[in-house]
Parts: sequence; structure tokens; C-alpha cells
Amino acid sequence: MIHLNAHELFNKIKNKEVSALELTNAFITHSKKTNAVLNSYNLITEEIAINTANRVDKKIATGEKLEIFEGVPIAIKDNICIEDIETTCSSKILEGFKPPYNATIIEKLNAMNMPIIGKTNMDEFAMGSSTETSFYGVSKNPWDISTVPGGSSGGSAVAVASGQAPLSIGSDTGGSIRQPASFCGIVGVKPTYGRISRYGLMAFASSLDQIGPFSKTVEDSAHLLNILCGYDFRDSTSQNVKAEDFTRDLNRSIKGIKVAIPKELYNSSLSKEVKDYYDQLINKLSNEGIIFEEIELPSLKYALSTYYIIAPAEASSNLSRYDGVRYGYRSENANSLIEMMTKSRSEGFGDEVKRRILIGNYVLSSGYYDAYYKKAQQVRTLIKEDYKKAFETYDVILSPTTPTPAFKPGEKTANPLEMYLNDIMTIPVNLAGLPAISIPCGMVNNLPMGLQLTGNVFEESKLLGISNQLEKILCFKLNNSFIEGVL
Amino acid sequence: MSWEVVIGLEIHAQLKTNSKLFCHCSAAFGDTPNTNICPVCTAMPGVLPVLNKKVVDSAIKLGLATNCKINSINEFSRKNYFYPDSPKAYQISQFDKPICLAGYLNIMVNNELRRIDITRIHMEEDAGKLVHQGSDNISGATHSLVDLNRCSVPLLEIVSEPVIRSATEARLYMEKMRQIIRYLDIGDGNMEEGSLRCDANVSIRKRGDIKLGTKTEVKNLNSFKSVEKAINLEIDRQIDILEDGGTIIQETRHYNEATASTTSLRSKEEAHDYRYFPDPDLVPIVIDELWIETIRKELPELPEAIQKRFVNDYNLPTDHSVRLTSIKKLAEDFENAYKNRKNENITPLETANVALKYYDYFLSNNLDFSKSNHASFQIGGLTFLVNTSTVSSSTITSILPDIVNTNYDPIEYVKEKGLAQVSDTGELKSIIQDVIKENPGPAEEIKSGKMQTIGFMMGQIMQKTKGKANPGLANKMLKELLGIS
Amino acid sequence: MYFHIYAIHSSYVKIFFVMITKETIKHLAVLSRLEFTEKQLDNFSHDLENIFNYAQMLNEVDTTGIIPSSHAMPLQNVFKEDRVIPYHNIEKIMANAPLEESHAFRVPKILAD
Ligand SMILES: [Mg+2]
Ligand SMILES: [Zn+2]
Repeated sequence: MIHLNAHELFNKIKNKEVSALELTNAFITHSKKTNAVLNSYNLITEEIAINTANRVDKKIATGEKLEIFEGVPIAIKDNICIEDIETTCSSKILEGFKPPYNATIIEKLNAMNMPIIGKTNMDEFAMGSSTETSFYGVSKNPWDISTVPGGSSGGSAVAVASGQAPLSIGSDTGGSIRQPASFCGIVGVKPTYGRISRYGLMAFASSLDQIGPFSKTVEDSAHLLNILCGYDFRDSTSQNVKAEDFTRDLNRSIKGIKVAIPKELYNSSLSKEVKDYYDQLINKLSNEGIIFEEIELPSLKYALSTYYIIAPAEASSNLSRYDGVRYGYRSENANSLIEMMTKSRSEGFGDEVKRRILIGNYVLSSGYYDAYYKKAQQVRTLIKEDYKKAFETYDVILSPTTPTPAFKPGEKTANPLEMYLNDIMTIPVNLAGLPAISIPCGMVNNLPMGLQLTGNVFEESKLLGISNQLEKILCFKLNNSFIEGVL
Repeated sequence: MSWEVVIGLEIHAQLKTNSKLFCHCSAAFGDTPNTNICPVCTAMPGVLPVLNKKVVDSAIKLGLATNCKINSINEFSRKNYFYPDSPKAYQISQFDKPICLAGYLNIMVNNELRRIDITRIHMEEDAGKLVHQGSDNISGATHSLVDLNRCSVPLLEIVSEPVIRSATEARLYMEKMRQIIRYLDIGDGNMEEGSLRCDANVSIRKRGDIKLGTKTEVKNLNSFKSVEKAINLEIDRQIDILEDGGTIIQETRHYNEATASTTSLRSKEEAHDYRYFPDPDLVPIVIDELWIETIRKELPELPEAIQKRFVNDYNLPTDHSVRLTSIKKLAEDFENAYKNRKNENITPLETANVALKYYDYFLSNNLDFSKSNHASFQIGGLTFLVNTSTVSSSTITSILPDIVNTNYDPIEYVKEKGLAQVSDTGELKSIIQDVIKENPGPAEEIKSGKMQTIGFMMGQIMQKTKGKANPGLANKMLKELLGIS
Repeated sequence: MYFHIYAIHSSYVKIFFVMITKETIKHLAVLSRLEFTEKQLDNFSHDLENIFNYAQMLNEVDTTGIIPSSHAMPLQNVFKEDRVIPYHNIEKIMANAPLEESHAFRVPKILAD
């Protein structure tokens, strides 16, 4: 049962083949068993999951109609606030923090009676591409536990890929959903900025952060997006757009669609092996009547530099609230206020977080603001304009999700810049606020690879429709036998 | 050596809103610590700010009332600094795009008009409160307690150009600002509760110099008296230093009202670098002409305009009209009392005199005039009594304690208490004749030209009538009866 | 004050070599309320130097007259009403305080000895 996708599971509950409680218990049992190896959870929230499952079963007993995904379990990245449930961002500095409120998306999931089975591991404050910066240790990629699952939403990707949960929630600031989805062979979606409320998402870089789903299929993500999206008055950057059904284009034909491949992403950073693989793939898809054209988006060359100025700048300010005064970790080794704050932060944050705080404070410092921060914001404008122009002609933009398949822990930690280069495909999308998806497209070196499709703003339905058709053509199947192998 | 004083004021005015700037907590003053708080204003992880529209409206109001240009594109920025009263470790404020720019206010200094230029007005959030424990002040404290009730209450920061030339000017400017804030009804301007505060940047230079001297910032000025006192202290201190050949250090100084002195706040090791940048959690505020015009239409008549009108329409002396407009309610109560006058021949000046007497009574007894709901009605009644010589104007002063803060009709009151003046000539005549008979000596003195003795005789008449004799009439009749008129 | 930028050459575009000294990191650390060992100072100055030298490529881009983007999506005039909605879980906020006294957050003395 744990191998089934969300839609299949929902049908089983609806048809009373299995109770919501039985189903939830099956995932909790599997999660507990496998977590020792995969380290995908920071916390398994058995009690609240069972309470929710019981609510669903009561509904079934009284003959009430279920709405889609009621009773289907879900795992939540540990940077999304759940009232009374320890939420840590995988950081020591938030040890023991119990949010006094629910994130907007948690309210939505609760209203939909989806059992939350745990908080998933991540890079500390979502800063990283491998979960290696987690205070609680790296998560393991279920395809090969000697490799990383990607990050920062690594734990959420592992949970879905390993059958611990049929669905999970991540957040994506520079690729933190799409990159681990690619590494773990599953679907991950970053919606248009402002589609999903950020209220309750512990901020990394406010103008880039966006919550999104992980699932085994494109269709499951489309259904989950229907639940997650919507205007929220508590988030000033929330988009007040009319609700739409993201499944509406799933069966639309993709014959004749125009797909752009930006040279800046495709040619520069790929190994020959990976390039050859994608060339082959594109050939195959061309035979299905899709029109591919290579294009130039000149400003994309500067996206990584732009990102690594803007994101740390926002982060340095966002993370200043962790000062030991109101919540989280407070150092005992201080006898003045400034010492308390300094030691709490120095002992509470890991090195990658500190590095980005330093970068952020540098680029915002007086005398450097114009040369770095303002410059990056101007280049950001150019990146947006480049995309805008491309979408006048093309339906979607395609690239690999990552330059390489999953790597080994420690491989890129010595040189931060090399780790940052791993995000080169995914970062431009966040700068422009666009929706993008990663779907599994095959294997390189026995590890999954993802295909990234980027759509125009608010064109999630179209993006999901095309992705769904590609999913059928690519016929990638999650191989869950490794789970038994691991045990 | 002749020194010129250069002062710039940064006024912080707390706005009268129900809720805070970015959350729905109450903005009320003085509640139990940490009872008006929520996840947003305590900066719990994951929360987001949403702007209170009333604050923008209030800022536009003040901008228009102080002759500012309203910026069409506004932005909030983060001012980054660590301190426990600032839970996000940044203050959401406005930096390079403030809402109001380049305005001014006119003040009267020694009967001369002075224009005080305003650099900018911007919106920002207040900080929380630190209560130091184990000592009266920060330096001896063993630890401190953080109360976030006040955190994120909306403020307008009003920055003047360094054009103020004396401590008195500074106080007058600040008083004028408070008057306008109160007229606009956007803040209560209460300095004791901290809803109006200011920091003064003070420097001096040789008269004729163009270059500004090194300035110091004087903080903790929480009454008009302390604004004037602290600035004068600082001017004297700076002059003493310079005349002794010393140099002024740029620093922040704290005014201590109890000791009437300023002390240097320990200079921090780090240079201030607030790393301002646009807050990505908030979106720009675009103010178009329509919005500005809508606010302009809502603006009340401002004190300067009312003063002019009182002088022109009612022929009131400038001094009267200035005093009548010191607060909006008094101006309104006066005008209503005059418009509803009970006698056609009642003059604006008569009404104004009574109104000012009425208001002075509240001031000198520390009563809250804003709560006197029957002021206009009672001023009207009292003016009628004076106009008809029913009571003397000194009698009014003695009636006030009994009637203010009641709904008593003064005319009824005087009738009930039998306070009406004796203006019956027949009755007065016989009383005066009695007095003359009883005091033949003084009577003779007056007849022989010693006019000072009239006062003594009037006193005798007042004694006999228990103060109710119409003094003008009595005086006139006394002279007639003594044959000297 | 601790920052140094050296121009190494300039022909078509300005290319700078950015030097991040340990002093720079120390200054940033004070601003960030962080403290570092000598080794960390070395490492971070090296890391930041690499990152900022990589980012120098932005100098190739002509951004004259380009409006900076603070946001991913254009939005303006988002407001809340001026209405009080009391928050009822204050005790859950206070329960997270590392040290509470008299219903307030207790912090060590502000001024060091
Ligand atoms: Mg300020
Ligand atoms: Zn609040």
C-alpha cells in the first residue's frame, strides 16, 4: 500500500477498502522503521496524524462525502509552523520551539483532514542543496544511501520517494523542491510566487521563498495544489487571483507546443554524459510532435551571482530575530545582553547559515549596497524581462533540473561556491517568480535525473498539463525495491 | 564671542489607531505587560506584516497640514539593529522613499513669524519597552524585562531642517506640531504617556560661519519644559567647552529631568550601520491624486485659518483668536456659543472673553476640557448674564466651579442661587443713601475731590448688597447722589 | 572602513579583485552578533572572497536606468483594516521564553561589567 500514489490511496479510502486510520498507521509504521536509515524526519507526529485519520473515518461512518485527499497522509518540511509541534528548521537555534500558531497551509491541510505524519529534515534554514547542513544530520537518498537526497527539502523528497508518505510539502527558494525531487526521482513543483501563502513558513529569503508539493505523479501535485493555493490576507505578497482547477489541462494534447531550451542553462554547465543523455531525450520527445528551439536568455548567466547576493541579504535580516530573547536556544555562557545574543547565535547556527549571514551583511553594508545589492536587483529585473520575452513565443522552457545526479556527502562541502553552482538551473526561476516543475525523466549512473519545465506566471495548469503528458511518454517508474533492500 | 545656535528636531508622534501598524493587536497604552501581543508583533518565526491603511491616511493628513509634498511611490525598509525591544532585530521604517517631503510650519516667536522647514515625515513602528531591574537605571541593573505591548504601535517621525535657533523656538515648534496633530485627530499628543516625543540635534557655531558645528543628539525629552530646559543646558555646555578651547564630541546625550542635566550615553563600540533595504514582505504603496484629494477634503479647518477668520469675521484681537484656537474644541465652542447668542447685541468679544475665562478655569484646575460636553451652551449662558449685567464678570469666576462638568444652565443657576445683581435703581438708591449717611466723613472727602475714597464707599455698598450690586450702576449713582458727576 | 577593493585592470569593463580580510569578517561578525575563532575567520574570509570574485561578473552588465526589483511579482497597496482582533494564545508565546519573569521576557543586564 505504501507504494501507491495519493490518488490511488484516496480511492481506497473512499471505496472503504481501507480505513483512514489503517492507512495512516501503515505509513507511520513504515516511516518509523525506515527513518533510522534515511533520517528523513526530524519528528514523527503520530498523535495528530491519528486524530485526523479518525475524523475522516467518522465522516465515512456517517456517510459524508469525502473531498479529494481527505485521509491521505502528508509529511511537512520542518520550516513550516504547526501549532504546538516542535518546528526547528533543522537548526539548533530553534531547539524546543513550539509555534503558537499554524501556518496558513497547515490550516488548509487540517481543513482537508489530511493526516500530518511528520516534520521532515532539511538543510538548516533551507540553506543548502543536500541536507548536509542540518543540525540533525544528513538524510539519505533511498536510490543509493551513499548519496545525498538533495536539498534543502531533502527529507520531504525522501519521504515520498521511499514510501514514508505519498505526499509531502517543501519550500523552494532557489531550487529546494525541484533539485531534491530530481535527485529522488519524484515530482516537485514550485508555484508562481504568491500562489501559496508564506504565512507560517519560516523565512529564508522572503522575495524568493515559495511553498510547494512533492508527489509521485504530476496529477497528485495538481490536486494538492488545488488545496494549497489561494489568497491569504495575512501575506501581503499573496496573489489575489481567481481560484482555478489545476487539473483542468492534464489531458490536453501537447502536439505542436513550443518548448524553449535556453543555451545559458543547457550548454554551459553540463558534463558530456549528462548532455548526451538530455540530447537523446529531446530527440525522443521531438518525435512526439513537440517543437524544441534553442534560445538565448543572456541575463541567465548572471542569475547565480544575483541570487547569492539577494538571498543572503534577505536572510541576514530574516535570521536576526533568532537572538535568544523570546524563543529557541539561549546560551548559558553569557553575563551581558550582547554576549547572550552573540553566543546564542554563534552556538545555535551552523557554518553555512553564518556564511550567508556574513555575505548578506556585507552586501547591505553602507558603501557596498549599490555595488552589490542594488546591482543584483537591477539584474533581477533583466532576468524577469528575458523570461517575459521568451513566453511571448514559447509555451514552456525546458532544462535539466540539476547539472548532475545525486552526489555524495562531503563532495561539495569543502567549497561553498561549488555547492552553490549545483543550483544553477533552478535559481533563475525564483528570481523571476515563475512556476516550475521537476519530473523524473530517467537515470544517469543508476541515479534519477529530473526534467525542469518552467511556465509563465500563473500558468501552472498549462505547465502541469504538459508535464502530465511528458510523464506518460517518459514512463519513469519509482523503484521501491530498494526500501526492502535497505531494511 | 557671539554664538549661533543650530537645532533640528526629530519628533515621534504616536498615531491614534485601534490596532498596531502591522498586526491586529490593540495599540492601547498602559496595559499589563505582554497582553497586547501576537505572533506577528513578537516576531515569531514565519509571521508576516500587513500594513494598517489608517496609518497611511494619517500620514497624508499631517503631510498636507504641514505643507509637504506627498510622495506617490512609497516603500517600507528594514532598519537592522539588535536590541531586545526590537523583536525582529529590524525596525520597519521608511528610508529613501518617505511619505512626506519638504514642508514647513509657521510659528510666532516674540510676535514675529518664523518658518520652520520640515525635511520629511515617515511612517514607522515603535519599539517595545525595557524595564530595568535592580536599579533605577540601565547602568546598575541586574537584568531587564521586555514588554512588547508597545512594539509595532504606529508612529510618524517628523524631521525638521536644522533651522531652529533657540530652545524657545524648539518648544514653540513642538507645541505647534502637537496642536496640528490634535486638530487632525490623528494622535493624542500626550507627552507624559510618550505618545509625543522628540530628540534634539544641537550644535553651535560662530555667528556668520556657514559650516555647521559638531552636533550632539539629546534624547528623552518628555515634556515641553524639558525640551526647552535640556536644549538650553546643552547650548551652555557646548559654549563652555568651545570657549575653553575644547571640541565637541558627536554623541548621544540623555536628559535627566530629576537632576536637570544631560549625560553622555556610553558610546557604542560599533559604528551604526543599519543596512537599510526595502522590506520584501511588504509591497509598495502608490498614492494617487484621487487619494490625496479625498484626504484633503476630510481635513478640518486648521488653527491658522480659523485665527484669520476670527480676526476678519468677528473683529477679535489677534491675541484672543490665537488663544481661542489653541485647541479645536475651544474654537468650536466659542463659535457655537456666539452663533446661538441669546441677545442680538451680544458681541463676539464678549463671548470670547467668557470662553477664555471658562477654558482658563479648566487649565488652572487641571481639568480635561475635551470632556466638557456643555461648554458651548454654558459659555452662551454666561455671556448672556454678563451682557445683561445680571452678574458681574467676577461673579462668573465664582460660579464656574459649581457648573462646569454639569449640564446646569448658568441662567437658571444664577436665578436659583439668587446671584443676580441689584440693578433696580430704586432699591440701589436707598442702599447708597444709607451708606452715605453712615459714612459722612468719606462722603465729604469725595465731594472735595478725593476720588480714591470712592473705592471705600463701593466696598460698603457691596457689603450691604452681599456683592450683588451692579458695580457700574452703583458707581454712577453714588457719584450722582454726591453731586460730583 | 575595513573593506578594500583593488582594481586590477580595466579595459572594456571594470574587473575588480575583491579582498575580504579577517578584519572585514570581524566587523561583519559584530554587525551580525556572531563570534568566530581565528580559523573560522580565515575560512570565511576565503569563502567570501571566492564568492564575491565570482559575483564580479555582474559588473559586465549595463544596468543604467534599470529599475531594481525588490519583489518577484508586481503588487501594490495591500492593506489591513484598523480593527482590533485580540490574540488568544499569548501563553503559548510566553511558554517559548527561555527565561520569563513577571509575564515578560527576561534578558541579562544590558551593560557589561
Ligand atoms: Mg526613526
Ligand atoms: Zn500583534
